[in-house]
Amino acid sequence: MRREAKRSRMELYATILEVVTRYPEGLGITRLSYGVGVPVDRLRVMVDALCSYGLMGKLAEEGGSLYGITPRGLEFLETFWKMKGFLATFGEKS
Amino acid sequence: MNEVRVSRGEKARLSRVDGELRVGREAQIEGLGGLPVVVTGGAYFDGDARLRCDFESGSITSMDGSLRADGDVTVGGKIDVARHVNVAGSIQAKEVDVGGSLRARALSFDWARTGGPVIVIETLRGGSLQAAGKVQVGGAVELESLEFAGKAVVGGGSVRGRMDVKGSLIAEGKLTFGDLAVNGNCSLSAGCKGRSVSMFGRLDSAGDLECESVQLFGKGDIDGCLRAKKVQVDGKLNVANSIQATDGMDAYGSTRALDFAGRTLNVGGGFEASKAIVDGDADLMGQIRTSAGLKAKRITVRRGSTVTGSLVAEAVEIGRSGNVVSSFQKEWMGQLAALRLIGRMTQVEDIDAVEVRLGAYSKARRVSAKRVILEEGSIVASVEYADELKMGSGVHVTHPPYKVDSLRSPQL
Repeated sequence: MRREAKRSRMELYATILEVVTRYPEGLGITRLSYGVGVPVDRLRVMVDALCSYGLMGKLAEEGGSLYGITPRGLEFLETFWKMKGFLATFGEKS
Repeated sequence: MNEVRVSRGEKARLSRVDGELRVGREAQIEGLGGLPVVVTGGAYFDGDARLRCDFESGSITSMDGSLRADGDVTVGGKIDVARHVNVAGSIQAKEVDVGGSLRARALSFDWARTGGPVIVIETLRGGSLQAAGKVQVGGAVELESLEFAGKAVVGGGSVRGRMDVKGSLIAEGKLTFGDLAVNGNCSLSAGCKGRSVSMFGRLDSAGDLECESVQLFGKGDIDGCLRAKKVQVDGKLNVANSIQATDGMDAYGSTRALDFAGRTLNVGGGFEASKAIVDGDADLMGQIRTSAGLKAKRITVRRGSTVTGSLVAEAVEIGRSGNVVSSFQKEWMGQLAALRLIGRMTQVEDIDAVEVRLGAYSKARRVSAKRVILEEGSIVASVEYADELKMGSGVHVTHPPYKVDSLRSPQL
């Protein structure tokens, strides 16, 4: 599906984490790419970054890794949406 | 169990499959004689699935492709599609789990989860829906709960339980809800009602809004009446018509309405209405402005505040210390109001009460009460009393106070 406007890196990170949050059992990179709407090769770079920042974690599985969100990732999401709320209050484009 | 296989790239005409259906990549399924295809067991698709008919099965699974159907899809169990689902007709299933986007004319389910957007042209009916990206429903929604991050546009309807929105929600029709929690933007049509609204961001209502509890941190514009049991505002609230808060309102920041009626009123910041009727206590700190007056059982005006408009109560205390604002649940806007008011004289206009205490270095225009206490340094233009007048040192009264046999009954 085509996305409407180009998303910033933070918005992409938030989208990745939001999609992963919907799968408490863990989510593979391919299925994650369908939800986020980003090709796997580009998504893998962002997922690796999020894992290195401690916002996502990898669960080793036979036949491919599954990813899950960490408490720090949940904290990021809470802060991200709170900032969106502030921007909405001030009438800023968020 | 009986199994029917459709080879890769094949165009198969089917009617009824008693057992399971396994379909190869890029195959297409058509109904014999234009009739629906019925599979009693599960349908498994390698890669993309194309159904050129109405399709009914126990389950649909596509672990690495998309599902596209030209007709209706009815599934007794679960639809599990890794990529996207695009159904021209309606989808009916117990569970729907789609990795990407989901698009249908109508959608009905017990439980649904999508990694991507949900776009439904007509109605969306079901239990719990979790989505990310976008939820767009042209018709009404009828859900148990909705949780999404992104942008949702719904035609109205009802979400009986919790509605958890991160991003933006637009309700184009009348929406009833259980507990609405929004982080971002929320735009409601007139006549929406629910159990609670908890808002961090911006709330717009095109007309009346009715809830048991409203908690707003941010900005709210209601183009009608706000009716609730309890209202808590930390920010800016504009209500075109009246605010009715049967349990009371705590307003920190700036609140403006045509009039207010409620059990209690706690203000830290700015409050403006033509008239305010409070059944219980009103605790005011900041800039309070009423054109027709404020009536309560007991009114406390904190030190440094300015009140424009008459005050009518059984007991009125002017100039009490504002340090107590920290008791207002320690809300930061209330604390900010306290800091701004340090060192300013408390000023009010006319007071009609049974008992009035004008605190030190407070100022009033006209005081009319049975018992009046003017503390040190207070300033009053005129005082009329029926029972008792006590004046501290350094009190300035412009016109000599006078005792009356009976006081007039003030009207707002």
